[in-house]
This record gives sequence, C-alpha cells and structure tokens, in this order.
Amino acid sequence: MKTVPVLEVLDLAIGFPAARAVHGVSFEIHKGEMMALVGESGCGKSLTAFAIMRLLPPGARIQNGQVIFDGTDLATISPRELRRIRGNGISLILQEPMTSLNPVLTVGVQVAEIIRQHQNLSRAAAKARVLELFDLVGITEPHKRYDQYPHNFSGGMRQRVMIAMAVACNPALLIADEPTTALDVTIQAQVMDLLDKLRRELSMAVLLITHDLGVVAQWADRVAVMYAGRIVETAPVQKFFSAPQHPYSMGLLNSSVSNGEGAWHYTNHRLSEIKGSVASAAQATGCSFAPRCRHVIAPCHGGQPKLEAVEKGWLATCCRAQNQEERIHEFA
Amino acid sequence: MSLLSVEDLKVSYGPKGRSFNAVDGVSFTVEKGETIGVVGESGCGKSTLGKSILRLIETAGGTIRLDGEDITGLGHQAMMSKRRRMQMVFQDPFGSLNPRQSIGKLLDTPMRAHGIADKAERQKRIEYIIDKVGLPQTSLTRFPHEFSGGQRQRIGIARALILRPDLLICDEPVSALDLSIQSQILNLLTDLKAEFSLSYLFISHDLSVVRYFADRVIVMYLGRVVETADHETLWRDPRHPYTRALLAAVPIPRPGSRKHDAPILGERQSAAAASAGCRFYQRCPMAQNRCATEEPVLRSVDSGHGAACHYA
Repeated sequence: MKTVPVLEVLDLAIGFPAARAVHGVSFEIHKGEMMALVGESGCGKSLTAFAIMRLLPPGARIQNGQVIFDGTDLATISPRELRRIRGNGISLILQEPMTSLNPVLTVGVQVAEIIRQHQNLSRAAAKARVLELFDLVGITEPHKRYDQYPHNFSGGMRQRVMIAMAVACNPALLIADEPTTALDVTIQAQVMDLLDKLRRELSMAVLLITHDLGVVAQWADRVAVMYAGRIVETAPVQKFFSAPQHPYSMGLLNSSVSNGEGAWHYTNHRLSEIKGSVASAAQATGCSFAPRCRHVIAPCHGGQPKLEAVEKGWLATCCRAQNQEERIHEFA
Repeated sequence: MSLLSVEDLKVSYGPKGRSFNAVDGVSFTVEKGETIGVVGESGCGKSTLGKSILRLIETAGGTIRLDGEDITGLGHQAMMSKRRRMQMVFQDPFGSLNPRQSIGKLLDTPMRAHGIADKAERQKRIEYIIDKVGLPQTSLTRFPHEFSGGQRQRIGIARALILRPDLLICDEPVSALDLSIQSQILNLLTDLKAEFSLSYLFISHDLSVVRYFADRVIVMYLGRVVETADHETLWRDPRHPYTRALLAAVPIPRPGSRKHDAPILGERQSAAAASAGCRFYQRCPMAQNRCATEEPVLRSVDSGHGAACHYA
C-alpha cells in the first residue's frame, strides 16, 4: 500500500509502576480498512487501543514510542490539542452500551452535544444532523427516538446510538473495543454489518478489538494477534486463517470448537489445547510464548524474536516462521 | 426410564397480577450419559430453567422427575438428598467461590452439608477429585484468588463432582474463559463424562460450543422450546425460522463464508409483553396472519425432531 496510513503506531510501550504491560507494539491502519486486534484477556489489546487516545487507566503510562495520526504524535501533544482530536478525528465505542450513556439525558441531546463540541452548529442544525445520523445507523422513527432516554432503548439500539455518536464528526479512525461482546448473536451480526457499511461509506478506518475469531474472519481485512503485550503475528485475514505462522495463532485456531465447516463433535474430535497459561510469559527469558509452545527449539530461549516479514504485509515473531519450507513441513 | 424428565415446567417472575412466565411450558428428558444443550439468546429463560430444575427457583407449574420420582413438591430435607445427585457449575468462576475458604475447605463444605461424617473418607475424596480435574494437591491449601479463571472453573467443577452426582447442570461454564482455556475445560468435561458416566444439561448462548458438545439440543425463545433435535439434524435441517436465523448469525472463523442474504431480524420482544400468537411473530420473516393469533405447539416434524412453528 502506497498511501499514507491513517494511524501509525511505532514501538509503543505502556507500563504500570510494577511492570511493563505492552512491549514495543507497531502497526498501521489505512483509510477504510478494518483491522482486528485479537488476543486473550490481559494481552494488552485494550491498553494499546486506549493509549492511542491517551485514555489509560490510573498508573499506566506511555513509556516509549509514537502514535502518529494526521502528522502529529498523539503521545506527546498537549491535552488541549488532544481534546480536539478525541471524538472528532478519532472516536471510540465501548463494549458496554448499558453504561456508556447518561441515563438522565435524552439520547438526542447526548449525540448533539458531541457535534456542538466540535463543530460550530446551532442547536437546530445539530438536531437535524442527529436525525440524519439516527437514520444512517438504522434507528427507526428518529424524531420520536431523539427525545427518549437510554432506558427506552434495547442493548442493540443503544449500541447504534453509541455508533451514531462515534461517527457524528466523520472521524478518520474509529476504535471499537469489543463492540458486540455484550450483545446477542443475531444483534451482533446487525451491529457488525452496520460498522462494515459505515466504514465503506465514510472511508473510515476501524480498529476492532475482539477476542472472537469468528467476528475477525467475517468482517475484518487484517488481523494483529497479541500475546503477553506483544504483537506476535499480523496478516491479511485470508492468509491468517489459511496458514497462520506463529504457533500461538495456530493454537488459537486449532483450539476453536468450530473448524469453519462445523463438523466437529466431542465424540469424534478432541480439541487441541494450548498448555499452561499466560502467566508463564513473565518468567520467560527468550520468546514469551516459549513456555507454552509445542515447537520450541534452542534459539527460542535466546531472546525475544523480532517481528519479521513472512511476505509483504505479513509478519510474525517466531524464529521458525521465516523458513517457509521448514515451517510447512514441521507444522503440518 | 429417563434420568431427568421435565414436563410442562413453568416458572414465573414478577408481582401477582403482573407476573409473566420466564419458563413457559417446557418439556424434555435427559437420558443417562447424555448431554442436552440448551441454547437461546439472553432472556429466553435458559438459566432460569437450569436453576428451577434444582429448585433453586420455585416452579409455578409442571413436574420435574428424577429417575421417575416427582421431586416438584419435595420439602427442604427431602430435596437435599436429590440435590446430591444433581449439581451445578456456574458461569462466573470468580463470583461462585467463597474467597475466604481454602480450596480444601471449599470441597469439604458440600460433603459436610450432606452429612458425610467420616473425615478420612472426605479427605480421600477431596484428594481424588482435585487430581481428576487436573490440579496439583498443593492447591488444596490455597485460596481462590491465587488461581486463574480456567483453574477456578476446574475448582467449580471439582466442587460439583465431589458429591458424585449423576447430572451436572452447567450454566455457561466456558463463556467467561479465554479461547485457549475454553478448549481445556471442554476436554476436561468430556473426560469426566466418560469416567463418571455423567449426564449434562449444558446451557449456553454460544452455538458453536453447543454444536461441539451436545448430543441433543433444545432451542429456547422467550420461555418456550421452539425446536429440539439431535445435534446433527439441527444444524443440517433447522426447521424453525428462529433457529435458522440464529444459526445463520453465528460468525464462522473462515473468511468469505458470511451469507449476506441471511434473514434480518428485528429486536427481541420482552417475555412480559408476549401476546396471543407465536412469540416470534414480530421478528419472523415468514410470518402469516395465523401466526398473530394462534400460538404454535411443539410438534414432531420428523423422528426425534420437534418444532413449534405452523409452517415448519
């Protein structure tokens, strides 16, 4: 891709006073692209996403690295400048549509507030824009809905309100942190289809944080897998699902209860497991996945492997991933 | 004779006069050694169903039979001895373990409650079961906060098994766990089933997990069973429009497999707002006039395959 990325994260490290949680994460997202950041709880995926907007929890600090958005480094700009970007250039939707809205304000007023904060619009013009947005995100009867409170909305509808709020100022980047985890599966499909439609229509880049590989396969263009605070593999979705390079990626795909065809049943297929738990990464001297890896060899203990290209746009941090011939033979 | 048989079970919530049935006329059986999966979206009554079978929630009608014996009207003492044969594994491995009890104590408590007096015997069982769920003996002196989510779920399973039950009611046992841990727990449940000839009532919102783990499946919608079939049939030939929509909505981990012509469903109604006709009427892509006024009953559409739809 020749174009300038919408967002470029370079060697980002995030730490708490006691320990470092994210180690040198780098990635970029292009216009209109949906990139998924996947990994298990505690892998640092949400922390990485929140660090982009400098919304870190108390105690956490960006210790190193750059977050380049629109030519500026968000990691160092003043809070005042940052406020202009939050909700305007970059916006965020969260997992919990039940608690993200103020229960004592009508939803229309809450969406209008964002618009008036960033754009010089009259009340009437902001309301007209909100009604337009409600229509865009599939909230029926926008006039009636404008004056209702969050408790009048179902979970799926509240998430639509959050999405309307997030796209209100035509952001270049939308960060969606587990946007459908709290929703029923039929509603999940609707909300993901909506996000998919919006990023195409508005040419908006989407950083999707999820733990659901099904969602990744169905809706994302590219995927970055995180393990113990590091990106271990980043690949186009098609390639990731057909030939994952990192043993952790393979482990995740193999331990899934569905093989895509869905013919697996406990009576005829034993699920493969990734042995142990992520806690072992803290003690690892070399590769942080080495204590759980089935394919570990001597060099794995020698030091943390670098993210290296398997082919263009496809990187993995595994010292065995570079040799394609050997890898296919070994992991088949 | 079925291990468990539930007939026309009703559970209601809410004050008198404005109550509604969260479980409304549910019937099914669990045979010895069988895994029954119960699926449905939030609010369909699947968790209420599980708890009411143990009579942790009082029923409003219907009968529950364990080995043919009606346990619906049993008093507290009599029910205790039945609960020994039916135990529960909960979703939340963080909230369901007493933080102030060591694991050894946690496993000892149910045996004392059920009057297993011999201390040596209790200790022997504890050591045996902790090994069976794949945890070291040293775990017994440690406390819940020292364990990860997956380990805590193993402890929850050990506690459920310590009374040597015949039936485990598992309410979303792997939903709170990471993918790599989920497969460990499912493998463990598979092994334990074989070893102790257990039956499971496996309640989950995750259709992929149920497809993998259940022998027969019950699909619930707003308190009713809308479809029931063995796992192969249900995925090969779903008859109810709700089941079809539900299966189509599950994202499969294979790029490009998404069906963009999948039926679009509206939002779910509340069980309290149920009207005279089919409960799925307002979301159904196939709804006819008849569906608005006449509630379909669960009828057999094929051998071992039932659906509650006029047009199935």
